[in-house]
Amino acid sequence: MSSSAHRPDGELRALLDGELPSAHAAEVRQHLAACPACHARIIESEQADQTTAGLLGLLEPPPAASLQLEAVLHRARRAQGRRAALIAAAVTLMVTAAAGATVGRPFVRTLAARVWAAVHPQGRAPIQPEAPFGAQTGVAVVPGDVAEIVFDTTQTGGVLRVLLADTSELAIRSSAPVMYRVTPDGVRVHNRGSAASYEVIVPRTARSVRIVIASRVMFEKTGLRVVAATSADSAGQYVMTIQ
Amino acid sequence: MGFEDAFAALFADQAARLYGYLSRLGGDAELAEDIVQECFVKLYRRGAMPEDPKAWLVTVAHNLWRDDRRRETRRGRLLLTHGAELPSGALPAAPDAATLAAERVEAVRRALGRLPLRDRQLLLLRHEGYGYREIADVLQLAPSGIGTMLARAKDAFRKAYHELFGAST
Repeated sequence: MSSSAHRPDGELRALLDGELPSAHAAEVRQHLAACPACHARIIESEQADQTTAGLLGLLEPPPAASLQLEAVLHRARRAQGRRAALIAAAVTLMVTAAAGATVGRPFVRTLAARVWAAVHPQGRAPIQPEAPFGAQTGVAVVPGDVAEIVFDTTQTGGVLRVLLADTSELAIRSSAPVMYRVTPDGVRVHNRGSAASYEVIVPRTARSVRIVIASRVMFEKTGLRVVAATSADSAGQYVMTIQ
Repeated sequence: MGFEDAFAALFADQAARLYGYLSRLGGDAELAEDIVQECFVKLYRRGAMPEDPKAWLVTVAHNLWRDDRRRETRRGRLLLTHGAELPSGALPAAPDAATLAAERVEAVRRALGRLPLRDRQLLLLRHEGYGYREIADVLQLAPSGIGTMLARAKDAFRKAYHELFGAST
């Protein structure tokens, strides 16, 4: 480009931002000294920059309380530990399957019992011994980064109650036996024809948990944020119908 | 410098900056905070520094933010959001300073919202002090074109703001 030609906006912009190599910057400055039009443009751009910075500064976010190195390291190390635990659990399940046992159910039941005991110390055991084969009244899983509880369908009756608790496992209990399937992403609830009510315990520390009924998202927790089809009641629980 | 030291230094240098960028980009400080945490958790679990850690963090943050937006879209209007939410309609005109300030903030948000996503990202990354090369890496653009695109994005933003809030400001 000839040194006498007017300089493009992008070049002036890069000069203001300190992004031009020094030789190039010197050349542009030399041009500005001799070209009133370009000089006026860069002064105008500089003033406009101050306006833009001032306007964007209005969107200053609130201090981020959880953005502490210790908190992030704690979460990262916990996630690593959880992954290792999941791998160990998967190995246990495979070994159990190889031995001809009922795959999954003993592990899931033990876990569910532990969660229920922690959250409902006075409550009854989550798994009823009289539950027909394949149907249970509760399961619990260790949630990964994203966990999902998916109900096959809506019901003619029953309610869904969701509460947050200081547990490490995601647990679901039903008032009547229902078929649960633990999947890599969470739990599938085969509730067709059921009118049971459900209680779901979501770990406060879970990164992302979703509850879906017949493709409709009813509850979603992402980090600290909760979005649900209904507001929390006075006890902090989200109660909604499954119809 | 070992990985843990490099991680701590990068966190001290970049966490607040990334948080500022994301909260302006999406208008949701809580989500921004969570995404920044998640970015650093992913980096820690990676166990080694990427070639360009700053660009890597922004790229991961963009992916997480995009995933969240997809979920929001799927959720549609079925759900109520609890917590801070931006007003969706124009604020009522009132002469007091607080209302005027709130109107200005809202106009800035809306002016940003009128820009194409790439221009918004350009503008806000630069506002947080990212260099042209970093911006080019993150947005997969030619570094030589950043100045021109940035100049246009800034013009478009100011024009949109003045349309919304009046040229007197």
